[in-house]
Amino acid sequence: MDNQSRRSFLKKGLIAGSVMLAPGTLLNMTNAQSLSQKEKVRIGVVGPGSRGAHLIRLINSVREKENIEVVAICDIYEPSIKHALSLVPDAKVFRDYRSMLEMKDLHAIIVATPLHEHAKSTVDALNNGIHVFCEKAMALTLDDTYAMAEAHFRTGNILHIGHQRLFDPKFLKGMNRIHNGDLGIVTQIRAYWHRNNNWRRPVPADNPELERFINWRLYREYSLGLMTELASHHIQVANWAKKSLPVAVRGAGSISYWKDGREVEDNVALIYSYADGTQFIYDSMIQNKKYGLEVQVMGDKGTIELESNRLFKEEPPTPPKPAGIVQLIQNINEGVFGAVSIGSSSWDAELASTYTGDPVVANDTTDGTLEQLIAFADSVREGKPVPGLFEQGYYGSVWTLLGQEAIDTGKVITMPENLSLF
Amino acid sequence: MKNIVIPYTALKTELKWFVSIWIFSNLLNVFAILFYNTQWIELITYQPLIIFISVLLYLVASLVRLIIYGIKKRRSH
Repeated sequence: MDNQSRRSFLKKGLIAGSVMLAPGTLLNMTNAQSLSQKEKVRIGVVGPGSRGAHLIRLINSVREKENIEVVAICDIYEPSIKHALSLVPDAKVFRDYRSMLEMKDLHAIIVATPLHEHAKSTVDALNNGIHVFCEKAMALTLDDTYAMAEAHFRTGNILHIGHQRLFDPKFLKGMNRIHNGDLGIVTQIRAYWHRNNNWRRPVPADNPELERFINWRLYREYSLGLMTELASHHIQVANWAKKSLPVAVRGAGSISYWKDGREVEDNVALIYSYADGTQFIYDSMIQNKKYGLEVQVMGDKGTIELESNRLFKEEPPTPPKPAGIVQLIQNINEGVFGAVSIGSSSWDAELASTYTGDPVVANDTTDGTLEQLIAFADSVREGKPVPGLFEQGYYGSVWTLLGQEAIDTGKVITMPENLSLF
Repeated sequence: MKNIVIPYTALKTELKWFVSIWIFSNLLNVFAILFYNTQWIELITYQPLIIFISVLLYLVASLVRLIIYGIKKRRSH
């Protein structure tokens, strides 16, 4: 498809293209359908490995209530098939997803394969009238990412990208607070994802040739490692918080610790710049886990730490004053027994505030994955996507890949115009 | 066992001392409310603390009085 037809197609197809997803859209959509409206949604899972099996377990937990059923699984790795069958014994087993797509009464598939296989199965499914829930990141290349968007808009079939934070109550409420101006003017976002492990999965001793197959996250042929598997989540969140897209990204990365033959970085740092001057600073590593993961959205009136569900006012609320007589006693006490300063430093270290903030939501009990699966099933029944939702996944993926390009080239990268949905 | 008899006049004197100190403590409370701009209701709600302060001040005053009484008695001898 040439650039001109690409653009005209997307302009025609993207009704909600200028709409960045509002948290209220998702907050209000839960259980929009009554039980009688809930026709059974029959789902096939392509790639029921660790993530795929987790999604099957979640679907099983609401199978009756939400009328969703996993009716087929597709994989070429026997241990994954065996494990998936223990969760859904009645599911039909396929070795080739194309055969699965021909299955009668299959409404949708979940794509939880290694990254490099997302695009092909997604595009084929959409072309076959099957709706798709595809795990993030969308694809390994920008061309594949765009091809998935094109298939989604051309066919009108649903394509959900697995960014569960879009359905996580603390992120939804947090975004409401950000967009309502509770943090003031947001000028910096910081996010990080730190682990301390080699990110390897055990390879059967009698089958060492399965190394690349099992540890696909470590090889450029299949994945971009920290960027596509972790960073894509927080890049999507930053765009969501800003209600806009970066204008440029610069970055650096290295294999600094796990020098074990892997091809993807174990240490990355990037800066995404937005048109209003906001900087989104991201880093990820897998040789120290002290700081875990976090997204910190910082404005002149406050900060939100979305992963840990905390909101901090820039000026902490003052505790209520004690009674006058108590204050008088305290002052006398300090005057009599307080330490007397005999000198002071000319410079005080501006250490972090010890103020512990307030929770964004009272009960932080879900990460949004189940809610997203339910919303996907609702979308499938209605045959209508959630406005603006796909764009979140699309641009999250695009800017993830552009970030990797910045790391690879050492240059400042901007988004090619032909990738824009606007 | 010897009975200790406190004369009525002595009891009256001590009562005067304690009431005076209690009034003084309440005046301190008034001062604190005005100075720290807090609520007048504290005149009532903080009475337990005021009484506690009064007892403390009364004990301190008694000690001072006892010392003064001792010094005076020694001089008279």
